[in-house]
Amino acid sequence: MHVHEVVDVMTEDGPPVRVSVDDIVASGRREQRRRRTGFAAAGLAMVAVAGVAVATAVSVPAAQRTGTATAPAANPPAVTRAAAGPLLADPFEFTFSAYSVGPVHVQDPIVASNAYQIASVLVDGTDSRIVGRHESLTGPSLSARLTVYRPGAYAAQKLGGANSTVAGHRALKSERQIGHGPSQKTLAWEYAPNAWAVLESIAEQADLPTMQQLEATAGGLTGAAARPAKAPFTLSYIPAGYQLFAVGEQTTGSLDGFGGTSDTEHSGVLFAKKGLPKKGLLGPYDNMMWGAFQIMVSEDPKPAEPGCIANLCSRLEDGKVTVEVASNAGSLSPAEMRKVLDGIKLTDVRDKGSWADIRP
Amino acid sequence: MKADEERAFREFVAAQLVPLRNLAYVTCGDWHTAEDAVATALAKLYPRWRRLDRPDLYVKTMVYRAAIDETRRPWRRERAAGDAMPDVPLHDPASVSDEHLHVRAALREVPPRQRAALVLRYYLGLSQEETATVLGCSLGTAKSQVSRGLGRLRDLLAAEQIELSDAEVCGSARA
Repeated sequence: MHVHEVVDVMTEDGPPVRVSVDDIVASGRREQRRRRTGFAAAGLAMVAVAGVAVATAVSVPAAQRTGTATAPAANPPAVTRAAAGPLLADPFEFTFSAYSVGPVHVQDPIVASNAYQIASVLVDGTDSRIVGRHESLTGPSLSARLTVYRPGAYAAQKLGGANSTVAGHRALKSERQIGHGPSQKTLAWEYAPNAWAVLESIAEQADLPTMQQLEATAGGLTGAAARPAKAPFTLSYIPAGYQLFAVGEQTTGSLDGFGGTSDTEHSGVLFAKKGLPKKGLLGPYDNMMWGAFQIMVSEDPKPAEPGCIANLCSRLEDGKVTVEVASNAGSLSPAEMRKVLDGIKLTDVRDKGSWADIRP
Repeated sequence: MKADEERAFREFVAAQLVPLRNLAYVTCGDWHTAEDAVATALAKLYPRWRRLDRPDLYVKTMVYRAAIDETRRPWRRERAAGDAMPDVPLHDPASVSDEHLHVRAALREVPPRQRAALVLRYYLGLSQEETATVLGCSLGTAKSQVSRGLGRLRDLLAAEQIELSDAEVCGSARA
């Protein structure tokens, strides 16, 4: 018997494949749109502030720090914002703000779930954009984020890193090369009893950032006044058995925190079936998206045709704002998707003061 | 994505969906988790399709990492039985021969990372270098994973009077 025959025996009576090529392409398109609009908006923002960024690398206003970071830092690391409150958060709540430590720039958190909040992280001299064949990156590629978990949510014992200390807190750190490819670094520290924060980077160039820079960045994390994650809509119908799962502000798609914010991807809100764990996590709920459904509110110069196709129902408001309900792997019937869509009432997407607290 | 690129992507997905799901299933031992891992990896591949020289290795790496992570997640163990493959057959056990049951039991006893290495090397046909890339380890470690997995599987099958191909055992020893 050959090994491939052993594998055939093991897999011969698997269930039918639930997901179709169309499902995957539809989900891929959403991911692409999220990333493209996010990076494009970020690129424009950086052009506007590039001079400021070089001159004031240790004190960049948070609002200007979205997207790529291409200017090398000339100044030594320094924490740029003072403590403003505790980090411990309730579900779907943000409790920290953007800050910079030397070349490392933690953005405002943009994703909040029942177990964590996530912010993108940018590093000077790197480029996180996804570019087409006729474009080129302006620096080594980087995907990085800061995830602040609620007490008990993060399974630190599963990380398997080396023991360390961050600002007096117990910490774990690990570094590894992914094949012959990028360098992956993880730094986790216990910012409060049984509550962990995790900085992660997947970098094309191994020293951008260095572990020392991540440790300095970890030491700079402090709390800010708590605020709920909000969405530019209210909704009157949630299918039975589903509950709020994660809220993304100025981001849609997988809600993994990578890639920064977008000016046109206003909101992505995920609902999933009840019973998801809130403890023992090793990362955001990324792989569990399948089987959930998502509401997305965005502006696209070429909006999709309103109506329902495959696993997506959409409508257009004021000729420019697209509201979509996407059901992954057919978790909702078209009738259910339509009912959710019809129950969504938009606020002013451009006025965050009008956004709604949709926590259960 | 241009029409011809999307067509190529669709063809790639159609061709890879089942083999990738098998890779994930053999690694993590749960069909639903395996399909989740594959679907998520392929969706994330879509925006990167044009810039990757080896999308096949990229997506295999993503699927392997997701599947191996699942074997470590405690809540998944409720249905995935941790590092082990599920003991409960999905279909009528009467339809499965004794030999197949023994083969499945033997593969269940091989550690997850070694199982994945065997699938990559001998089921998906990757080279040792490509296997190392997907596993995220050195070439030497990848060879070791393949060799140990093969040895373990051979011994377990031998106990059930099932012989594993000499060609693969010898091939691993040479590599």
